[in-house]
Amino acid sequence: MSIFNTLFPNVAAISDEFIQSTLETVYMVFVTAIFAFTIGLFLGIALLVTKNEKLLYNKVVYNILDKIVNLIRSIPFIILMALLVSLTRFIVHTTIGTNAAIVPIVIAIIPFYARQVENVLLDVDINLVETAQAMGWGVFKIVWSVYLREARKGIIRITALTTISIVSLSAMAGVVGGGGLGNLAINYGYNRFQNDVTFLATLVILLIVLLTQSISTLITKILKH
Amino acid sequence: MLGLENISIEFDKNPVVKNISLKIEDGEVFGIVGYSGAGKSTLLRSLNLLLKPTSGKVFYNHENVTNLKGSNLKKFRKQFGMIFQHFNLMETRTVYNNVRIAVDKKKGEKEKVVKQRIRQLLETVGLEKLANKYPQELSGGQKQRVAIARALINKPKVLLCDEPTSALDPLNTNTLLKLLKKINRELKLTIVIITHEIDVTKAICDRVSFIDNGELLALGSPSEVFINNTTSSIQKFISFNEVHARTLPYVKNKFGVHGKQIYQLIIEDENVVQPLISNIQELFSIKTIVLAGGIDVYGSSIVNNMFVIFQGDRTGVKKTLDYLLKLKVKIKQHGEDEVQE
Ligand SMILES: Nc1ncnc2c1ncn2[C@@H]1O[C@H](COP(=O)(O)OP(=O)(O)OP(=O)(O)O)[C@@H](O)[C@H]1O
Ligand SMILES: [Mg+2]
Repeated sequence: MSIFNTLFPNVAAISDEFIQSTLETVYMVFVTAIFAFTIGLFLGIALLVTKNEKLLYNKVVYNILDKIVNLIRSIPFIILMALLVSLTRFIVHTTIGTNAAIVPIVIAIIPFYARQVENVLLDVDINLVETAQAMGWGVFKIVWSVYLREARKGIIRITALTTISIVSLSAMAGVVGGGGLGNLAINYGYNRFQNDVTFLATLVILLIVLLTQSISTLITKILKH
Repeated sequence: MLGLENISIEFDKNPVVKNISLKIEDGEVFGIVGYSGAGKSTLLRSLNLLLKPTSGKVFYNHENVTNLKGSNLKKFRKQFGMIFQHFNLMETRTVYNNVRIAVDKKKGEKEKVVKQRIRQLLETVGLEKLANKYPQELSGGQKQRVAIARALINKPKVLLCDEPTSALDPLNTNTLLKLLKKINRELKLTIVIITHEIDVTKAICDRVSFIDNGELLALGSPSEVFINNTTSSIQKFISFNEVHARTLPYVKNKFGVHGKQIYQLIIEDENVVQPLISNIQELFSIKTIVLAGGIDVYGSSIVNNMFVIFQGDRTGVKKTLDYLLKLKVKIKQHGEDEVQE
């Protein structure tokens, strides 16, 4: 413990707050992931099926979704947070803290994830759709048993990548009082020059990223095909 | 029975199938042949309504099914099995599960029965040992047999095949065609098969249709369509496939038979084993020069398709022709320009 105290004197002084911040980051990433991945997956599937003439082709719907996705993706995150302040207040009744940070992160990640889902699904052999239709399958079964199944490795890959993006956005949200390790690094490391806090925060973030990647690799290995 | 009545199919106002009518009887093997881009795949997909025709009617057992929708359409499609040029297997599933996933759960069969049926089917197509392999681990011929097992698992009435052999080597092609014929016979399954190989139609088809530029140019037994039909686009198609159609122009050019009358003799079935050429010589003193040709099996009939020049006097030739016609040998005269180069 004494080595730790010498290496990270300032962290030692705020050890409870550090642990608290770490948990906040994990919480933010986790909750954001649940919302963003669920909605993003649906949106990605919606983009896929409304674009494909054999599925639920609808040019108008596709164009609208496509434009929205592009629009949100092109807004820098910091600005998006500012833009969404009213929405955030409406949903979580506050504009600071972890819950307040989650709203803009979810909004930012959904189109990012949806576009990747769409691309991964588009990589599935299009001829399988026809094969499935010839077996009398409907759109739902084609999406479930053909697309999601055949693209599962790709989906795991982009999910890991997106999780890492969420970690990064959650840190950025700290700038505006979003809580978590980003917030901590700003408060102590940036404002008070306590570099050891920044350093350890970085280490923990890297650990989370590493863990995400390892889990993804492991699942991919287990699936094999 | 499958029926198409005045079917036309357009893509973006561009007609791809033009006013085609045909009937496919239960239990027959029906071929669709034609050049690339002729509209074969499009036509085939109208049979199970994967493509809805722009105009015209589709019949299944005398019932007009053209406008089926929703669950009725799905149910209708389940009467068909379909296999494709590139097999279209699911890479994340084993051989067994590729077949398993196709099982129609609505039939409510017991798991045990289903298992048994899949095993049996895999045995029929010769894949019982590969049940737990993934498609990536199989050869083309094996993949196509998985596709067949998958197509047959729901006991369809009709098997639609879109160029099932064109990604296979000759050996695998042969195995597959034999398998299809066996299935056709044993399960009384109607088979509709697209191919650009005349040999494939000769091997298994009862009837073939020749599609050119979206139109139905010929319909009949393989020998009727590929030997008797003189439509120039069919003759040209044959010239890429059939040996005699390649050798004839070559022989003509090399040995200077220009200006001489060339007869195409189509000798069928029992006449094939008659000494016709010696008979002609004995009876009418006519000598026969064979320029090109060959004996081949077309479905269930055997045909000797010969290109000859008769040497002798005019009356002798005339008597020869009468004699052959009486024996039901089909004769066509080929002028210089008629035989495709
Ligand atoms: N979905 C589509 N949209 C637009 N045009 C199409 C579509 N499907 C086919 N076509 C066109 O229709 C024509 C016939 O296509 P089809 O696939 O039926 O030909 P095919 O006889 O099966 O050819 P091949 O032997 O090369 O498979 C082609 O010119 C093709 O470009
Ligand atoms: Mg085709």
